[in-house]
Amino acid sequence: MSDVVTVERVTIPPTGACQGCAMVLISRHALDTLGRNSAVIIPASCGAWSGAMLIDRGPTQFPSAAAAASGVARGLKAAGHKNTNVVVIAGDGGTYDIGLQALSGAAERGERIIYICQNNQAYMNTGIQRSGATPRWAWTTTTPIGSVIQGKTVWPKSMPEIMEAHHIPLVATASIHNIPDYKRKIKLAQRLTTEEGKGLSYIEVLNTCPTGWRYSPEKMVTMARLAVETGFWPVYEVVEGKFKLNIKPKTLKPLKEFLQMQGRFRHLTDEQIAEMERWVHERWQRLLERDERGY
Amino acid sequence: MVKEKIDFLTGNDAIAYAVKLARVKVIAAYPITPQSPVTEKISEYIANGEMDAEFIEIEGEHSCLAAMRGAGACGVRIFTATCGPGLMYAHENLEMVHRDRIPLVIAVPNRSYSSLFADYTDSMCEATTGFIQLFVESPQEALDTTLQAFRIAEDHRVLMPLMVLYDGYVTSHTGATVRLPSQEDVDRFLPPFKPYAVRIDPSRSEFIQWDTPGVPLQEMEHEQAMTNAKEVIKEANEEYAEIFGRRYGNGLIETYRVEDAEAALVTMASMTGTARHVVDILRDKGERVGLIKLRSFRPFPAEDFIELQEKHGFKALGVCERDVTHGCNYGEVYGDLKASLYDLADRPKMLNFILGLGGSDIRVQDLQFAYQKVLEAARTGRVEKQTWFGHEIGAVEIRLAGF
Repeated sequence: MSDVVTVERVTIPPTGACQGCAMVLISRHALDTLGRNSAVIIPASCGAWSGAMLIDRGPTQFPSAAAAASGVARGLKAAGHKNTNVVVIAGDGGTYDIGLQALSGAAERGERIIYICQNNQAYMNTGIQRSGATPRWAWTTTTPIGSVIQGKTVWPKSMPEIMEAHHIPLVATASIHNIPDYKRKIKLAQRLTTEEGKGLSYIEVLNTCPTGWRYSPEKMVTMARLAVETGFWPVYEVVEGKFKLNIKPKTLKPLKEFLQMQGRFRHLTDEQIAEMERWVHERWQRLLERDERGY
Repeated sequence: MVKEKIDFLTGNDAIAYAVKLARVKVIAAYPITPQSPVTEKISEYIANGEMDAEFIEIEGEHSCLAAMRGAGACGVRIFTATCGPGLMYAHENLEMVHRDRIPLVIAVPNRSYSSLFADYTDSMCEATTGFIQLFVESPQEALDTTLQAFRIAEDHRVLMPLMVLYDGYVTSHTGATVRLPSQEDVDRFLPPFKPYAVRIDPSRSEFIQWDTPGVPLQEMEHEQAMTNAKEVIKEANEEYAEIFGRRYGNGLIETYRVEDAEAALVTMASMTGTARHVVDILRDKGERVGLIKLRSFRPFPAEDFIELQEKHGFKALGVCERDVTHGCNYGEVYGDLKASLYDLADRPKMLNFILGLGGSDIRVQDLQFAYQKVLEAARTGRVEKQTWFGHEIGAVEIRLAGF
């Protein structure tokens, strides 16, 4: 029976997530890759619906996931544990907005934390309210399509760039349509952060969300792939200062292909789509230049 | 015979010394006046290799308490210090520390929300949070109480977080003679932390699915833990006295010249020293007055006050405190004490003196005034005016030109 491969899983289905929720893949592949010698901290987020797992979960309140993880990492060290992965799986609200201070502090202190942001671009768990990660013009319940104002009026933050400014060993983005790339980054984080103690690793994954983005659940992976192929979600890594664009399509698909599949962008005018595409392409150009330079 | 050194230390330095002696493993702290010297001193101990601990230089008090929860979940001895606005900022995670049953010890040099100086408007916000709150009078008591604090909080009958409260500047920054116990003697009194359960332990071969009781049962269990804490505080006080020869009343309250007293004042923390002096003056004049120092605000020692009242039959009691519950026209302690004594047939008349708000001085004449009013109530059996604020009796506000 040499062809039987056994994988030690630490996550146990079922989960409480919505049908077609990418967060389930994000947390499962991270934790199964890292294994039993781990502790995980999940602040208020869709991650709360990750289901049962065979590793201990640390306590935290919404604003303080990275701070609680700092305490866990130091507490485990003081208790004599070695090479335990301390993982945070937080949403975009808990990372970009209310959790930013705690994350910035932990990154600056060089805490041994693998921080995974599963970004579904709004407060989906509380009912689709806008966050600092919500794209411009997107519909949410707090950026409704009114007769005067339609959707979100400002651009989202560039969180991976904010994290890069902390000089941490790993900043990476990933997509659930390319799990091998995501798992490689998780293993890289394990080596740099847990084993070599070089500081906090930050991995952000686009969490495609049928409930909040308004599309049908079976399109979870298609949507993730399109986000990357249109340049809406660039997949890259910055490893100890070295930049690499991991997925590099020869030409980007029109952004409209990605936007038109989602109810949250249904109201966009052609001008708005064109402006968003310009924004996306400018960023893509910058990333290509960085890829060329290698930093 | 214990080996002790004698040194001249502030309250902050005395607490830092106690933290070193307690062999604390993880400390997180954020600077705030007047707490900062505690963590500065601990940083020095660690930098000089005198103390083997993880120090998390955290970026705010809310995160600080979150980090303490995280470290506490790993089953190691933990400590932090904060006060005033920092304590208020940490409120959400303070609440969660007691829900996790993490025996965290926090040093709180009380600071008003409205100035840099001492009053209890910061910690009184946490009166319902589930923290044991021990108010201490001097740097010596701060050191002794911090050592006892770990014993009390970590006791498996208790497992509740604990605040050691001392007056900002008055005690935190004022030097006094302090007897410093030896490490050897402290190790006898305070053995290594034995957690009841370790929530995060990756070396465990089996997996535990933790379950916490629902909120109503949880609250009932915590009330039981606080009731148990009364006994445990008394035990720690006695055992400490057996080894080190210093005792603070019965651990919950401490009395001074209450025999045959017809009236007494209840005081907290540093004002108690002034009150003792005033009792001596009045006793010399033949007035039958006494003093009760409230050391344990939470748990509130209702039984001990009842016993005291039954034994001495005070005709009137006055509560002096640095806090006020707006809309009630009295302070927290007054309300709690009045409720405790209400069912007694022979209950005293009660007055409240709201003194020292915003760090204003509590003067000898303020307490003389308070004694005069409680003596009047004791003799006439009537209370003309229940609550007196400091400024009504001439206490001046602290104003610093520089600020």
